[in-house]
Amino acid sequence: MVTGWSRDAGKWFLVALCCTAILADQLEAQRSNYGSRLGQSRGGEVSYDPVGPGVLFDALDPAVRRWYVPQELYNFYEWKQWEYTNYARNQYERYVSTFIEGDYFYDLYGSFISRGWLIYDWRQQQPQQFGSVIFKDPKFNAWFNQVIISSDHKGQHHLTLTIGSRIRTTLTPMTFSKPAFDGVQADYQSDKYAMTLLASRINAPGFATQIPVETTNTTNLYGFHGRGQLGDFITLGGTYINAHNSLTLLEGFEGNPLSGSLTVGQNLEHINRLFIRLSDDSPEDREGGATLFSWDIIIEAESDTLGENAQGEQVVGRKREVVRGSEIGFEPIVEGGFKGQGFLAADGSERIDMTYDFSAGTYSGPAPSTIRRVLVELVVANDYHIEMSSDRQTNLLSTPQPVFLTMERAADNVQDGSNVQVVRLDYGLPTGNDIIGFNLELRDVKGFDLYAEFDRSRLYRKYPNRTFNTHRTSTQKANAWMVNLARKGYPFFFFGEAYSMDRDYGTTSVIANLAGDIDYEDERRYAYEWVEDNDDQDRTPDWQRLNQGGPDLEIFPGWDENNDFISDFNQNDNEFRPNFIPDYEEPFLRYNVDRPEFLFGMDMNNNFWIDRFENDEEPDYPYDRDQRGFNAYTGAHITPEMRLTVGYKRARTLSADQIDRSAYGLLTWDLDMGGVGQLRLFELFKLVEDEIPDNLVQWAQPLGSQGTLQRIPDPLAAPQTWINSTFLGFDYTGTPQLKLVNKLKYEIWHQRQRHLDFRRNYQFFGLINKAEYRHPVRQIEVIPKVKNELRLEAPLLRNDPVRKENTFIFFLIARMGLLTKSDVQVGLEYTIFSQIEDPAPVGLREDFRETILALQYSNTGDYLGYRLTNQIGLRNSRLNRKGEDTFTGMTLFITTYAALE
Amino acid sequence: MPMRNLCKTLAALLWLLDPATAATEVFVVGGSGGRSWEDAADTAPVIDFAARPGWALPRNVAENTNIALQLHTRGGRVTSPNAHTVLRLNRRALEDSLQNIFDGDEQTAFEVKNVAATGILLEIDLGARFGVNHIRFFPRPAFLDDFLKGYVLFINDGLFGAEIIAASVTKLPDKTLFNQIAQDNSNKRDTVDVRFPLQYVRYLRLESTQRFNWEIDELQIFGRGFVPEATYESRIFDFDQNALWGQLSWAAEQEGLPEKSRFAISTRSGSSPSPADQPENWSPWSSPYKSSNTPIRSPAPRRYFQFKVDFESDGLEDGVALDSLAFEVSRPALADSIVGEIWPQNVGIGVDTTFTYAIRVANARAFDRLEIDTPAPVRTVHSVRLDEEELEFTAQTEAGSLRLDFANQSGTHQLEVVFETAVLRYETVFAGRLFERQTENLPQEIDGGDATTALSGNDLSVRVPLTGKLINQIAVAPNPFTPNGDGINDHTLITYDLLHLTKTVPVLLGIYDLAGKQVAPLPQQEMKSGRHIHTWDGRGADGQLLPPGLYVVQVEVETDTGRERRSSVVAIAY
Repeated sequence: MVTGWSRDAGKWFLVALCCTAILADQLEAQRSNYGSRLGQSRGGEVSYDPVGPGVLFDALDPAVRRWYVPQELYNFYEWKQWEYTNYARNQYERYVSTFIEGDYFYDLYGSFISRGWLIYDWRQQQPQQFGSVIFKDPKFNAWFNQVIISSDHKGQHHLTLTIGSRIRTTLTPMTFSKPAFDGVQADYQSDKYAMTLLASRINAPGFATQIPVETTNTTNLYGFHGRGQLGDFITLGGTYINAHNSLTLLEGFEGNPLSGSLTVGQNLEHINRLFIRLSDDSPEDREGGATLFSWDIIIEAESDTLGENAQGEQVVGRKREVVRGSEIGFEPIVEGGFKGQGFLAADGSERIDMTYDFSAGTYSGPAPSTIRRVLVELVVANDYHIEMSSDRQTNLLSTPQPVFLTMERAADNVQDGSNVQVVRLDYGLPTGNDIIGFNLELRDVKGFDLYAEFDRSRLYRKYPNRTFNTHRTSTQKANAWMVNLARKGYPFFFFGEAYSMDRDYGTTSVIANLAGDIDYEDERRYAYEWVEDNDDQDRTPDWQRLNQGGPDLEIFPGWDENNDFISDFNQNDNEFRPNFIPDYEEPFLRYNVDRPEFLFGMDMNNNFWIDRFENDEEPDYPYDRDQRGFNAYTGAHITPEMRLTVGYKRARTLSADQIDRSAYGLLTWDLDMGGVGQLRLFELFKLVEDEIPDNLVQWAQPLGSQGTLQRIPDPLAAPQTWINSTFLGFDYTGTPQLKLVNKLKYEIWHQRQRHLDFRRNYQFFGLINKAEYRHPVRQIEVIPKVKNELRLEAPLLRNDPVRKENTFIFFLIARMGLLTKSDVQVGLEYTIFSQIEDPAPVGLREDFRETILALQYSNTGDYLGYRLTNQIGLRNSRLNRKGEDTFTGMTLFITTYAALE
Repeated sequence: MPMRNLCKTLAALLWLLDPATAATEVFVVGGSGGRSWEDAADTAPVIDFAARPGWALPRNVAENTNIALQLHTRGGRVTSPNAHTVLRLNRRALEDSLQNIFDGDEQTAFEVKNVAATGILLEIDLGARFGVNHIRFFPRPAFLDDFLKGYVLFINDGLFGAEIIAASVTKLPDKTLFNQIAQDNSNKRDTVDVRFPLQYVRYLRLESTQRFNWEIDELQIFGRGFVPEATYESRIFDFDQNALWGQLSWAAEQEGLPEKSRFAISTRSGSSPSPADQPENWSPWSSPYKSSNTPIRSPAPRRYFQFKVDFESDGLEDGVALDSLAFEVSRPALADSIVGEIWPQNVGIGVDTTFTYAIRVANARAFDRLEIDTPAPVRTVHSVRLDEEELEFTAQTEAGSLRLDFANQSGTHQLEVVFETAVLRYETVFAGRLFERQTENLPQEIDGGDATTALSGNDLSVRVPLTGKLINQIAVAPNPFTPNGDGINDHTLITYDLLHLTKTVPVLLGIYDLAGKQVAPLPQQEMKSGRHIHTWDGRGADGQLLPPGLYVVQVEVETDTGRERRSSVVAIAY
């Protein structure tokens, strides 16, 4: 039975349905503008600012049907929850179409930011487990090539925020310089002021993945450099960089955030054993090493105690105690060293090892779990080097071994006991380090330019104990400074430099892994460098460090004068087809490229290598650590092309008191003889006394073998020596078709005092003569070339044989064009290598003759937007070594290169 | 170190100290009448006993001697960090296979066959550094086709990064530490013969670069010259009871340039048979003895004794040969134990202080003399007490020592000496020893320890504040003085203390007039820590007496930390 109410209700229901249909039509009309479908329309604009749940008109339907909010997508697609899905006619579509992808993002005030994608997000929340999160969406790599830049400017003020994985960042040469900084850099610059802020989570800067990298143990780096112009000439700058371990379990302002916190791994257990090692800081002299007179340990502990107050109630108090090891009979186990009158000494490779064992049965001091601080007092003298370790400062092997880190060194190389002193070592595990520095620049003050910089590095340590949330901090400091003063004028010029850098000055941070563990031995994984070793100035640091790339397998500092990031000595090397043979050893290429020994350059540290070609294993500071010294030269232009320079350099090592001093004179003459060629004359004379080793890692190319990086110890070839180096070069370009290149180098190192291992005179005489003639014969271009290389050398070491070698190479290349984009090249190379001494001394290569024939077809054309070069060819070689069978070799190739230009 | 032709000196010494008659025995190793070096050796991996019979010298490799043989006997090894995975061998089997390279047996070889792998590395440690100029390797005669078709050969001199290489037994070594000396990726010869200039080599690294089958029957290494380092470690001498040590002497001869070779002898003593098993019962090695006929510095009395000789050479033609080594031993010891302590242990620097030196002697056979080393002359000996009874004594004070003679004593006693002197160096040890004058027994050193409960020192060292200064005070007395030849106050004594120095330093003493002009330079001398006294007769540089007046006495010491000057005023009157 239908009641009256029911009938009325039915009518109203029909009316409501009609209204709904009308509204639906209106919605249909709006559907093409999907933008208005979302958000709130305010004054004609759609706003996405959050308003919070309110009174939703659509939800006022008195229907039992479950109502889903929001309903926009249902409306948009005309979906109904109960709708039968049939894709026969209308194929299935992705739930969200690509052109409306993205999410809504709101800032920390709740304001709407945008609808899009989260590309980069770094946040740290404390106290919280896994409180540090870095998220880099794969789009960070795919869309933005690992760098995001946002900038703004108004008038002279410019602001830029750069987030990248490989940003070339330099603050000052002694504080921060990286070819591939992974982090955030904010820069401000105006006409007079400039400022940079850096931030990075250096132990895990994050990879571009969908999964955020979360960690409880972080090492964060923050850097600041600012500079401002004072007056017309002066620029004053300041730098502060800090990297510290951070534990997100701690509250935000617990302890000193700049000195860092102990990571979970560092603070997992208290210390049971403490190790101290004393050794000779200059072991090479085998005397006057560490001298240890006495020792003691001071233990500071803190624990809860149960006591009674005045009312007789039990109360918990805090007990602090300071105990000396000598008072409680806590003595270390002392091993090694030589016993002297009242002291132990460690000379040369000897060392004294001391072990304090808090877990030993004889120990009667405060429980290790209550120790807040441990100070070791040593009375030492002479040339000591003190390192410390503990059972919490180890590597991460299955059986961890202690890793010793330097705590203190003696200044100079004292050997007579005159520096006897008490050294207090405040032990802890590294938690952070920072540098504070200032720099000053003066421009054109009476023609002089000045740059000065002072920096102090500080290393923070904390004594681990899981009982406490905050820990005692100890600090180790070291200084570095430099001053450069220059006047470039005509005809007179001047340059002076002074510098000092403590041996323990450091720009290396110890970083933890995500679990908070640190292997103090493994620099490749657990060290982060603020100043990289990147002697060849490419994008890859020379050494291997976490997330920094490297190691660089081919390092050719200064050998890339055409700036293509490929050594000029090995131009045909690349990532896809590595070539480890330098061009001066390769057929046909060897015409253009000459051996480095035949070149001229400055060798200020007297280690037999031209300075700009040097590769070491130190951070790229402008000056060497552990050295203090100065260098100054002045000179005059005799003619515009000719310059005479005289100077004096003096340096000494701070820890070993080794000296390097030299007085020098340099004549340079670079004469451009218009229409004829170029004449170059360089004459360098030096008087040298050098005791400072400058060891290198250089690309070595042993006889007949592929090259490799090898450690090259400095032979200290100039103990009391005069050095003369002369270079004469003449390039003839007077005839268009003919080009002549001539290079002559003569170098002598004369030992002023007899040396047991060195020849009295090291001598090198090198002469290179090259001639190239281009002669077109109709469509064929014929290029005959001749190169002769004469080398006469009396090596430094008496044991090494005298070299007298001559290499004559004849080249004949013919190039013939085919059609329009192809050519054929035929080449012949004939080499005669002769030892002037017969038979060849041991270790030198025997005479040989080599014939090489090559044929190559080349075609260049466009294909799919690329420029393709196809090459087909062969190379045949025949080598006749004296007294040996003939060796023949063959290379066949079909190669395609694609280029964009 | 005097090292040349000491044989005769040593022979004379042995004659004088004939063990049949003297209470002190002399043990001789080497020479014509001593125990042979070889028999007395515990470890001597590269010591040659045959080149000169009766002598010990670092191995001097002759031309055409294969150094690789007996590689294992001197601690060398051949390993491969990756061959076991390629050849599917366990490490033990691989080791056995690798031994074949150096066994001199042409029937055995290290074989890499039927595996498609390149880059197999062999790492060879020669066990010591040798002068090397020639390396060759080849397959067995029956498998001449299985020679290495491609190889790279590297060497390392055993110094540069040697610790890293030595530690890399099972992992790939750092390639940059090696020097590549040969490479041939298309080798056609069954015997690879690599020659290069003579140089020191300890480690070799051979890498195969072709996938063909290969084997090495023998890898031979040739060179010449003295090894640059060699160590001779004696066996442990057991004297059946606690013994005292006397003088250490030796005779040696050098070959080649004297400045290019040297050796260092060290000793240690213990109270248990093996230092390896019970290191706590052994002393550390002593500092090297700088000259022959030196008292042995290792602790005594002890039952066990050991010495070692470290040979070093900077040139292949230069080395040292040791003919003989002798050390004096006296047994039984003078007492079971002698423990001493001093009080006070913290005193003012350079201040004359009264010290109490207590000695506890246990089961002494006889003693009648006590000698104590002092940093400055002893001013007064206040008393000598034996078991709290005054003891009659005669005292002899010399610069640097106090000698007390008294009636012969034996048994267990408490001896106490009270004397006055100054301390000039931090941690000055008042070393002492007891003698029996009537015999030629060696003195017995006093060990620092708890000699009496009355003093709380428990050792023989005294500390002074570390003030940072090196010249303590200059005292001039008499002042003024009258150098007029009347025999009264004709000279004055200039006394100054040098502090804290561990070796001698140049000291310049000068007399200046009040205008700052030096009027009497005294010769520069090398001085060590202690109290030094100079006499000045009032004459100037020209030998003439200076006019009366005030003069400044200045002491200048030149140390490694810089120069320090101190001055005082002296007056001349006539």
